[in-house]
Amino acid sequence: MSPRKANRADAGAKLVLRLYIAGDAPNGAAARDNLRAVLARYPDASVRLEIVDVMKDPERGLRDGVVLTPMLIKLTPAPTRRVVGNLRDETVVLAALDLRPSDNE
Amino acid sequence: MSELAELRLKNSALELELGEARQIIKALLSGEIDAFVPDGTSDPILLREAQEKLLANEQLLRAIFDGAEDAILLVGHDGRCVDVNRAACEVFGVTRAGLIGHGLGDFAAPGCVTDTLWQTAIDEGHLRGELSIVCPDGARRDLDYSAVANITPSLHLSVLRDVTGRKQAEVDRLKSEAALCRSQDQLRQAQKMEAIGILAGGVAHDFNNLLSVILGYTELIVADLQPGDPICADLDEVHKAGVRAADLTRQLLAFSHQQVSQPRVLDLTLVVQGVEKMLRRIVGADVTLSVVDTAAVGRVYADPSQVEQVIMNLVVNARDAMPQGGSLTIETADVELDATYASEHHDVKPGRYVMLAVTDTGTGMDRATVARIFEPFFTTKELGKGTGLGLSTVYGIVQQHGGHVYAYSEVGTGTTFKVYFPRTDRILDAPTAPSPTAATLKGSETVLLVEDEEQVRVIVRSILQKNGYNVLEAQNGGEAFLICETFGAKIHLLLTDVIMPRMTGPQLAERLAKLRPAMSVLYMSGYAERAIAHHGVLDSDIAFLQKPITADSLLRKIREVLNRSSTKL
Repeated sequence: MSPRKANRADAGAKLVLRLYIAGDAPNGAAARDNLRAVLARYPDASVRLEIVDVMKDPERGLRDGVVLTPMLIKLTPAPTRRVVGNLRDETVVLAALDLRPSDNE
Repeated sequence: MSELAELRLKNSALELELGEARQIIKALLSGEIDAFVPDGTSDPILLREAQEKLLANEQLLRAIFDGAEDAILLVGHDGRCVDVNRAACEVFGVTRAGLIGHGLGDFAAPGCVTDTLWQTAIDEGHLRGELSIVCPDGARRDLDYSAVANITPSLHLSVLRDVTGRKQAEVDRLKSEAALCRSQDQLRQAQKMEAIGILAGGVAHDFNNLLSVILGYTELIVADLQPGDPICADLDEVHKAGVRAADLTRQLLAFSHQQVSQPRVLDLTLVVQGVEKMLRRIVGADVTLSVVDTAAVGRVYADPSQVEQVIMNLVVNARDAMPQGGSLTIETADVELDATYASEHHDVKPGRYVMLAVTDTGTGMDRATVARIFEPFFTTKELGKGTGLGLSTVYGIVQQHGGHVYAYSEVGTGTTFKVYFPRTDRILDAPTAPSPTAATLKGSETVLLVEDEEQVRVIVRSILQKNGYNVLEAQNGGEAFLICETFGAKIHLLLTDVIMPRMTGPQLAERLAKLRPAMSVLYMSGYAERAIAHHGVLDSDIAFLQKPITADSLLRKIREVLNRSSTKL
């Protein structure tokens, strides 16, 4: 699925995210947990998160230009942003997702 | 959109990309990456798995590296070790830290060039060779090496094998092969000498009987002739020739260790001093004779006349090697021949010896000549100048005394003969009394003569009868026994050959001793029979007459035995 198609499919959501991981590798698992913890703090945000395992579907990763995992891609709203790693640094994640700390208040 | 706004937008996009790139690098550096997704030609690579594989490979390589028996050096472009294995530390005798940062040149043995080793390996890709190193403890090691240049862009590889032991073993093998070869040569030479000795001894035995007849009859005829008879001069020539032949025979016997030896305890230095005057006359004015005697030289158990013969023959040989003059040194010294020396010389037993060395500054001899120098009739002298028996006699006498003789020679420099007699702890013997003078040689006693060779028996009987003796004659033991039983008067002396058919001289003497206990015994023989002598050495209480028999030697010996017997009574 191309980013363009993804945008269409996720048209109802304000924030469309795709997290690429590699099987149960530790940084991928940590990234998933860290991302969910961040998103949990924004319950009102309309978010669609897709997790793609490159070990099962490497083609998807290639189409999104993924060369390293874990990689989080913010597809919507534009511009597309990417964050690599276990998403431990919340500041980086919030910046990439264009969420401000005040959004959850 | 204005151009400025467009640039701002581009700038903003670039900043975003730059920020992403920074974040990726940070994640990579902090180990937050799980997988690398290649370009679709292969599955994603899990970095942890790859790292584990890499680690396992490294551990495997390290195990092989450190487990190798050969020394392995990883060398940088500057020729210095970057990494080394356990075997390398053992070979070079240093710790890993003591080797890393050093090059082969730091250990190379003097004369071993390693400067161009790596350049040659780089030029040729691969290089094999040998080099020697000196370890910090001073040990020298020989190594076979194999050098491979540029196994990675920055590394060369060198594998070295310690071949010191193998090389030493090779050297030892060559040495022992050479020693075996030398030993076999010496054994062959000794066997040849023994064979020649047996032959010479056999010939000498028959010659002695023939010469006894020739010399005996010549002397008898001369005694019967009037003084001034013209035949006397002719017979004198026959006699002289006979004596020369007897001398040759004696030398042959000496060579074949069959000359009868009557050893005494001697001081070799005193023997040399005793003949020194005569030796000075022999060598002549052109040769400087020096006698070097070490104080307190040990004693030997040897026949003095035979030792003199050895000295004389060696000196004559040395003189003949210096026709233009030179210097001749006679030296006596105590020496110990050890097991190493014995292992290198076929017939030497390790032990204490007294050495007699005769050194000349003469023409010297080549190896081939030295190898044959003791063979009878081998001579380098002109025809008629030497018999070729001088050194053979030396060899035989020395062998018979349980000693050894060796020649060391260099062409143009000279020759040294070293004679070794076994040292003895016995006390010096007193000089023997002189033989009776000619005035007392006749006698009137009864002599029982036993000799199986008729010609010898007849001439001995004639000599004895002409000199007043009463002779009873027997050609074997049985006849002698009968005579002893039937003869009604005293028999003063049994004069018997040693080897005879059926009964030997000693067996006969033993039996007759019961019938006639007062009868003295005198043996006569061509050589040292085993029946009366052990290895040629006579028992001290046995009276013996060496063939060929001459009237003078026979009468003198008989008188000596009979006088000794009457003194005892």
